[in-house]
Amino acid sequence: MNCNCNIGWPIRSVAIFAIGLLFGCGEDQAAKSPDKQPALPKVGQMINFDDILDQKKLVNPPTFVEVAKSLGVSFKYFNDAREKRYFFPEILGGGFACLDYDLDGWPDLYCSNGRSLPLDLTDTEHFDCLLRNKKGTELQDVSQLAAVRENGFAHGCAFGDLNADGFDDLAIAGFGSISILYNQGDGTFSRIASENFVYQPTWSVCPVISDLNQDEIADLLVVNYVKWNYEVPACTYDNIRGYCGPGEFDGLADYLFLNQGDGRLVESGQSMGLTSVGKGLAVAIMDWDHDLLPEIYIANDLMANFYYRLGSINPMRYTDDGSKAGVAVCVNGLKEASMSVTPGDFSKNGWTDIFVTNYYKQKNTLYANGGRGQFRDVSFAARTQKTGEMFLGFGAVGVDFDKDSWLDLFIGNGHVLGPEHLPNQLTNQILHNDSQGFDDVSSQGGDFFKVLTLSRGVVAFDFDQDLDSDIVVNHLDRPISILRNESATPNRSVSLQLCSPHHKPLEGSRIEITMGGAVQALPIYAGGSYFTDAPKEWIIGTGLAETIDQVRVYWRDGQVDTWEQLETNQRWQFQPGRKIRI
Amino acid sequence: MTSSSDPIPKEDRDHRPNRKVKAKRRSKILVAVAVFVLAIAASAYLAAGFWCDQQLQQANDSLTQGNLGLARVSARAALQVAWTQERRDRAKLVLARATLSDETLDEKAFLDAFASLEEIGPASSAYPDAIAERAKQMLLTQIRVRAAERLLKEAVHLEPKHLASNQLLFTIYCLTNRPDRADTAFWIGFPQIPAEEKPAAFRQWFLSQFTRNGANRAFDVGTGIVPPNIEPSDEDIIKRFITFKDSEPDEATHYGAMASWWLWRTETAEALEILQIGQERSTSVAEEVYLSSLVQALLNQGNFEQAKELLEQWPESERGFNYLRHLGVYQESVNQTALAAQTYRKCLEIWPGPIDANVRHRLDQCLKELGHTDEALKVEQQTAVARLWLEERWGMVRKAIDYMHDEQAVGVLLEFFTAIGKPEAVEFLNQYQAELKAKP
Repeated sequence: MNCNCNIGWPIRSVAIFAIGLLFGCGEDQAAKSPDKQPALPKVGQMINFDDILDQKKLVNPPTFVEVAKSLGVSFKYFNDAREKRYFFPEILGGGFACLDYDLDGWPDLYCSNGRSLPLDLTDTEHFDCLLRNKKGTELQDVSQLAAVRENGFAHGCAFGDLNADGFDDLAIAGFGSISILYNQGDGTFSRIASENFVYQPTWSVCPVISDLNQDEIADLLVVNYVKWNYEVPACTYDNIRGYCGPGEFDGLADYLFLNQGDGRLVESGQSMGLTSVGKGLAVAIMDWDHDLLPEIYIANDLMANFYYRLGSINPMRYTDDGSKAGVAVCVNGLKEASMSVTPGDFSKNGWTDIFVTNYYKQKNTLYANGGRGQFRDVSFAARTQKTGEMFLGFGAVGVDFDKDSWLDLFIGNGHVLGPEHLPNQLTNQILHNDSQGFDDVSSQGGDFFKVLTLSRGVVAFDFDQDLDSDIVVNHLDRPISILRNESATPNRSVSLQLCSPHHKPLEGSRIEITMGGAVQALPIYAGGSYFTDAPKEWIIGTGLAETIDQVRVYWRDGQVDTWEQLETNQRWQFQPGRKIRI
Repeated sequence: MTSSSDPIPKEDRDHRPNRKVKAKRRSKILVAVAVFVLAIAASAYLAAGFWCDQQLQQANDSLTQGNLGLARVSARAALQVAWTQERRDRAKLVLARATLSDETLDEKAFLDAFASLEEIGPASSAYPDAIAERAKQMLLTQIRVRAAERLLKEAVHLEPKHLASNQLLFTIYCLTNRPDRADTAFWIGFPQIPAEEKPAAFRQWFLSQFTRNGANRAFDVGTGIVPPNIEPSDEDIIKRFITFKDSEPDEATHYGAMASWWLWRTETAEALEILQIGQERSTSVAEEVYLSSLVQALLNQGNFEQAKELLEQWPESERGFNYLRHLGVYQESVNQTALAAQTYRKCLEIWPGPIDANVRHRLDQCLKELGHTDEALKVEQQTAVARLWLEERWGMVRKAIDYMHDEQAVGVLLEFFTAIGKPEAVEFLNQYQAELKAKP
C-alpha cells in the first residue's frame, strides 16, 4: 500500500495503526492525470493564414464600365419607399426583358417599374419603360411610341411569342396585376383582351413564357409571392422597426396559364400539377435531365425550392421532384431564403447546374448536376459559401468575362430590412471561375463594384454586339446601371443562338460544345436570374482557340445537328439542319 | 563488580524474588499503563473525532442555510479538534466555502480561504470538492475558464459522478461553445440534482443544446458582463469571449470558442480572423474547439486539403462528434460517399443523435446517392420529423420550456423529445409529468 496519510499530532506513532484502520489510505490517483493525453498540435504550427485570407489577383481581371448615361438612359425603378412605412412590395424591385421587339437584330430592353402605394390608379408619372437599342450606341426610350404605358406595381417581366406571329410579346407581373402585351409587329404593343386572360389578382412577381404542355405553343407561368396586405404592421428586429420578411405571411400557389391557341390564356396550375404553395421569387425553365422536356425550377423565399418535372407520374402533369433531385434544400437540409436562379454548366461536365442566391449570412448555393438531373449542393467546394455568406444576393448571371470558357458569375446584392438596419446597401460582386470554384475578384472589376447599392434584377446581354456579355442592373436606390464589359483579354469568344422554325418555344433544346475533349452544355432557358428574361443567346469564351472542335444542337423534337470546326470570334445562329453566320 | 562486594548474605540471596519474575511484573505494569494510555488516547481521539464531526455537520448545515458566520465558527471549532489530516481537510473545505461565499469579507480572507483549499492534497476524500471549489472561484472571480476546466477534469477523473464538478464543467462547456461536451457533463450529474431543482437544470440543458447564448445569462450577470434585467445581446456575448481571451490569452480554446460563435452566425471571415489572432498569440496546444472551428472554417472556404491535414492531426482520444461531422463533410466533398455515410452514421451515434437534422440530411443524401433506398427512406423520415419540430413547431417547444410547471407544456416537451429521440430527456420528463399529476 502506498500510504500518503499524514497525521498532524504527536501521538502519530501510537495512533497510526488505528487511524489507518479507521480511514484507510487512498491510492495515488493523481498519477493518472487526465491531462496526460496524446500530444495535440501547437496552435502556432497549424496553417498559414496568409494563404487563406489573401485575395486572388487575376492576370486578366474583369472590367465593367457604367455607360447608362452615355447611352441616354436615366430610368430609375420607382418603389415608392417612404420613411418608416415598411410596405413589403417596396423592397422587391424590378427587372428586365431583353427582347428584340423590332427584329432589327439588336436586343432591346424592357424595364419594369413600380408605382404609388397603396395602388393608385391615378398615378400617371410612373410607367414601365421600353428602351430601343440603336446599334449599341444609344438606348432610346420608346415607351410612348410603342404604347407600353403599363403602370402596375411591376416586378418581373418576360418575353416570348405567345401568338406565334414571329414577334416576341411581353408578360409583366406585379403586386396585384399581370399584364400581357402583344407585339403588333409595327413597333407597338397592345394589351390582351381582359376576357381572354382571367385570373385572381394577387402578389405576382415573376412571369416566364415557354411551352409547358408540349403543344408547341408558348404558355405563361407566373410565380406568386406571399399574401400581404396593407394592414400588416412593420416588424421589429433588435428593437428597431423594419420590413417584415416572408416568414410572417402565408405563401401562394403559382399560376400556369395554358395558351389555348385562340388568344385565350387559361389558368391551369392545379390541373397541371403546380399544386404546392410557395413563396416564389424566381423561375427558370429548361431541360436539366436531357429528356428534351422542360423542367421548372422555382426559387422560394424561406421555403424549399420547387423542381417540377413533367411525366414523373403522369405524362401531362408536373410533379415536384426537388427533394429527390437534391435541389429543394441546401446540403444541411435547411430551407434557404432563395432569391434567384441561374442555370449554367459551371463545371463543364456537359450538364447544367443551378446557382441560387440566398439571404444574408446564408450561402449562395451551387447545385451541381451530376448527370440526369441529379444534383448535389457543392457550395463549400465551389466556394460560393465563402464568397456569398456576407451578401444578400438578388439577380445573378453566368458570364464568361475573361473568355476562358469557364462561366463566371455576376451578382447584384442589397439588403431588405430597411435603412435603419445595417448592413443595408451592399456592393455587387463578380466571381471568377478558376475551374475548381469561384473567387471574388470584384476589387479588380472597376469603380462600379465599390458602390454600395440596393440591387435587384440583373440581366446579361451583349447590347453592343462585340461578343462579350454586358450587364444591366436594377437598383432600388439609383437609376439602372448598364455595365459595358471592357475586360481586356487575348482570348476569343463565340455567340451561339438557336432559331426556331414557326416561332415555336425552344426550351428543352440545348447546345453542346466540345473543346479539348471537354463537353460544355449551353442550355436554352426561359427566365432565370431575378425578375428578368435574357436573350436566348450564349456568348462563351473559347480561350485562344480559333475554332470550336464540335457544336452539337439537340432540338426539343429529338433532332440532333452536329457541326465541326466552327470559327470563333463569330456569331452563329442554328436552325434545324442549318448553321448561319450572322 | 565481584561477588565479594555483594551486600546480601548468601542465604538471603536464595530467598530474593526471582529477577525474571520481577521483570515480568514490571512488564505487566508497563503493559497495563500502556494499554491505559492507549485507551485514553483512543477515547480522546474518538471523542475528538466525534466532536469534530458534529462541528463539521453543524458547519455544513449552516452553510446550506446561508448562515455563513455560524458556518465559519463551527468549521473553525472542527479544525481545532481535527486530529487527522482528513478531518482537517474537510474542516478547511467548509471554512473556505463559508468564507468564499461571504461577500462582506475582505480580499485577504478570500485569498486565505483559497490558499487553504490549495493545501488539501489529492489523497484526501475532500480533494474533489476542494478543487471544484477552487475551480468555481477561478471561474467566477478570476474568469480563468480553462484553468478551472483543468481542475474540474481532475475532480471528475477522481470521482466521475462528482456533482459540483460536472455542473461546473457543464457551465464551462456552454460558455465555450462546446454543446456536445456540455450534454455529456449534464447527464452525468443530473440524477444527483435534488428533485425540486431538476426542472430549472433541465431548462439550462435545453438552452445549451438549442441556443447559443441564453444558457449563459446567469454567468454573464454574475460576472458583470451583462447588467441584471437586460437580455444579453450579441455584443454581450462577444464581450464575454473577449473577457475570457484577455484573462487567458494563451488558451487556444477561447479563440476557438469565439470563432465557433462567428461560424454559427455564418461569418467565416470573422472566424478566420479570430483563429489567426489565436495562432499568433497562443502558444498552447490546439484543443478540440480550436481545431474544430478551424476545420469548419476551412471546409466553409473550400480549403479541403488543409482541412484534411488537420483532420489527420486530430488526436485519437478527441475524435468525437465534431471530428466525425467534419470528416464526413470532407469525405462527401471529395466524393467518398460511402465513407461519408459510414462517418455520419457513427457521428449520429455519439451526439446529439437524432437532434442533428443537418447530419441526418447529409446521411440521407449520401444513402440516396449510394442507392441504399430503404435506409435512406428511414433516415429521411427521421429527418423530416426532426425538422418538423425544429422548424415548424419550434415556437411551441421554445415556449414550453419556459413553463415547466405546466403539465401541458411538459407534454409538449415530452412529445418533442420522444419525436427527436433523446431518451434521457424523455425519462426525466415522464417522471416529472407523473409528479406534476400527483400534485393536488
